[in-house]
Amino acid sequence: MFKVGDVCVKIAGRDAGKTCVVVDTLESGLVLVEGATRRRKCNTRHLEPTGKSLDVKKGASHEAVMKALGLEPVQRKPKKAGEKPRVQRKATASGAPGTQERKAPKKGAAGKAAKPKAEPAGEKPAKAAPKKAAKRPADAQE
Amino acid sequence: MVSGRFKSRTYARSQVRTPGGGNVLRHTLRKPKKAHCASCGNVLAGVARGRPAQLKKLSKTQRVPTRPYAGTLCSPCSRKKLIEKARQQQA
Ligand SMILES: [Zn+2]
Repeated sequence: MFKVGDVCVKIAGRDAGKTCVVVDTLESGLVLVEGATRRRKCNTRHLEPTGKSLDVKKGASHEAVMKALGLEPVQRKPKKAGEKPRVQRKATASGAPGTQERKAPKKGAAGKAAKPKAEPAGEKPAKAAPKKAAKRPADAQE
Repeated sequence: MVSGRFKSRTYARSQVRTPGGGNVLRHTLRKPKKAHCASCGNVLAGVARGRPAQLKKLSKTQRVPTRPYAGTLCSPCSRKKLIEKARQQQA
């Protein structure tokens, strides 16, 4: 069915609705597709032929296909781009001001939590319930 | 005593076993109904269901499929629509 150079529209997946050109036909029955979509193997069920065909060599590059389609080639970033933000995050987390701020409230919270717990336990166990309710007003209404 | 707003059935109810061994009625806001296809009315697969605050906690890809018309059309209906569009462009 599909020959090299046929212009199609992808129907399924995240590239659906984008035009592409068949660049190669594979033995498995799949088709290699290039254009406004990503360059990828594709089931012919997921393609809708437009009836047009272009002069494109087998295994043509992205730029050659986009020229033939009359579109501007998309500049795709290399996959190494993920390294930069990771380094920045580590720097902020290990920085001195961040750690100090985090430590300080933890100590204060622990001290506050310990004191009220100790007091009602000494007086009466029944007092624990209303204190819990006071923390969550929504529960008290139920 | 139950608060007045909880007496109507706008809130969903659930029995919860407390750590102390008691059994308590909890009132929570109901989930919205499942998303349906705009053209055929079938329930949409892969569309997250919950209150807006809960949905915001999910990643973008967990909320809705990464397809055009995702969240409004089911996959067969979106396929039909895309095929129609492709054939209109031919003519
Ligand atoms: Zn549908």
